Amino acid sequence: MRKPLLEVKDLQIKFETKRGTIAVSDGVSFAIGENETLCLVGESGCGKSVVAVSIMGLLPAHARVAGEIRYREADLLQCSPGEWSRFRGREIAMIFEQPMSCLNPVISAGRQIAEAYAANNRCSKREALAEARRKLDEVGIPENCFVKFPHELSGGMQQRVMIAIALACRPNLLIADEPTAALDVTVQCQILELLHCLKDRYRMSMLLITHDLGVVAEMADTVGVMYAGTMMELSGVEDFFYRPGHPYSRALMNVVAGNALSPIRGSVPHLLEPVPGCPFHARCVDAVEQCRRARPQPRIVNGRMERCHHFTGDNSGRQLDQMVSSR
Amino acid sequence: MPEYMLRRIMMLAPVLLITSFISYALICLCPGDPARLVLEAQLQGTPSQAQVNDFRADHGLNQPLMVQYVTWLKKAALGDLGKSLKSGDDVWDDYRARFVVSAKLFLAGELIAVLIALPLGIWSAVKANSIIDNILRVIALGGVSLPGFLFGMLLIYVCAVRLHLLPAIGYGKPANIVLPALTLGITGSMSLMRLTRTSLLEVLKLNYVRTARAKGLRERPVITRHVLRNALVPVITAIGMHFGHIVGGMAIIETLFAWPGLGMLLVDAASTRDIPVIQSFVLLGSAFFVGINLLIDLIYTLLDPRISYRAKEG
Repeated sequence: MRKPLLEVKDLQIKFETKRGTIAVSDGVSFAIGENETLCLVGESGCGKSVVAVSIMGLLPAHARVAGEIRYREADLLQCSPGEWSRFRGREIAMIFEQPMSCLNPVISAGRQIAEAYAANNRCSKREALAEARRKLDEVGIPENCFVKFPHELSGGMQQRVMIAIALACRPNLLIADEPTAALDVTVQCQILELLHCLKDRYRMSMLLITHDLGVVAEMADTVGVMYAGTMMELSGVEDFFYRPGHPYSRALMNVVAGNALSPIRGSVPHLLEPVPGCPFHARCVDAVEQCRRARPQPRIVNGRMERCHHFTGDNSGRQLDQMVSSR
Repeated sequence: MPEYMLRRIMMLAPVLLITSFISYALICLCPGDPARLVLEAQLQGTPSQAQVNDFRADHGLNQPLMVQYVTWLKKAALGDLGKSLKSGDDVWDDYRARFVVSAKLFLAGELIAVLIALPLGIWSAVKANSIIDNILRVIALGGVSLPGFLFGMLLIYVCAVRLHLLPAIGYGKPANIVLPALTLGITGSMSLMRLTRTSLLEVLKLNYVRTARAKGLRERPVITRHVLRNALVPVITAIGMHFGHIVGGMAIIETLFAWPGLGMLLVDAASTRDIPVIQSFVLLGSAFFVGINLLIDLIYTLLDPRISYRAKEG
């Protein structure tokens, strides 16, 4: 098997707060191969973004990170802050949700892109600006927006500028944290199409965080389902949609399948008070006594990982063809 | 933009009218008769009733208050601020000369304040919650709580009385400015330092700073290019507001160091109820303040492209 581009092993992230320690990520593991897209899905507040930001090394100072984040040969968690900053932008780039707040309001769009290029390349100011113009064109922004400030651009344009910044140094891995969350539907489509097309052109790998299972079907090679800081399921996109294994994955899909919304009852447990047993048991329709007592360990069968006491690897009876065909 | 400035300048009229009326009323409410107080100062003794009556008649002080005020207002509106009751000097000339003296002290003090506050404030914010940050915060809190004149006296005691390094009071030699400027600068820097730190920490939390780091920028350009420009807006506002100190705000320091600026002029004029001087003081001071505010608002447009005073189209 080829070496993956990024490998996250048993990632533990804790935030030390005045009210106690919060485990935001508890033993998350996954790998992304060259040219591959991994989608992380899950409800709000289950640690997806924190995992993404931890790969960039941009967690706040009160975060405690343990485990292993391996990019090619380098173990990023062992890097000094200075060494880590050499990966940012050049090897791994990130785009965020709410592009408006992610762009500096007092610097023009063009200069913010040029700055990203100049930060990682030895070049003159003029070269950086010229490169920024090319990037702007590549993400489909008209020439005259080069000197505009972020507040003069629409939400879609702002996200395009963010993408141009992220791609300025041709990174190998692009992390996109809900890149379309704050945009309206038609613009969402354009941005996703742009990402799809740029990913192919640059031969990038991608870690995409989203709430939208339609986006997952469109973009993903592998799907990771997170719940309360734990990776519940990690499987290929076909398996995920046609043979969803974990009860949580099935519940997520039930929400949008069919004509009416059928939300999952209950809410995500508060991370300050960790629940014993399986974190999902309180909301799970299949929960048995064992789920309340013992925490399920990850089990890997036929290349898919699941954390569920019921998991055997055989889920052929749980097809959801109508769900996928309705898209 | 010119439209906006015109509107702001027109708002000056009601401000000046109201402040000048209030100050006139306050002078008249104060115990003490201007005629007697001024004559006492001039004659170095008690004036006779005849002298007092003559003085009142000469300066229109025997007329009803509203008449006095309106007479003064008419003249002031035409640019004649009158003459000092006490010295007979032209108030405008005196004011201008004293303004320059005060401005020198203020600029020297403010320069010191900025030179102390900005680097330390930035350092404190970048190393938030470290030992150095805690030390600086304690110093700043103490400094803010310490009154300026007390600190001035300490400086006089140490530098002038004990060590004989610098002259304690006076005006004219370059050495004279050192102690009052240090007093102003150091006491002024404390609140400015706290403001710089808070403002920087506020911006450091914002998403675009994370973006800047995600680009692969090192910490220094992140701070200088992305954080500072946004964080310094409130600091610049505060520095701008400090300029108001020139027109009388430094009265205590000027009196302490016998620095013949506007603050001392005001104290002298107030003690003899020198109406034309006090009135001019209020009038020019308010105008200066409004002007400074306008200037700060214009500086905003340079710092932040989101702020513009152009009339909205459509």
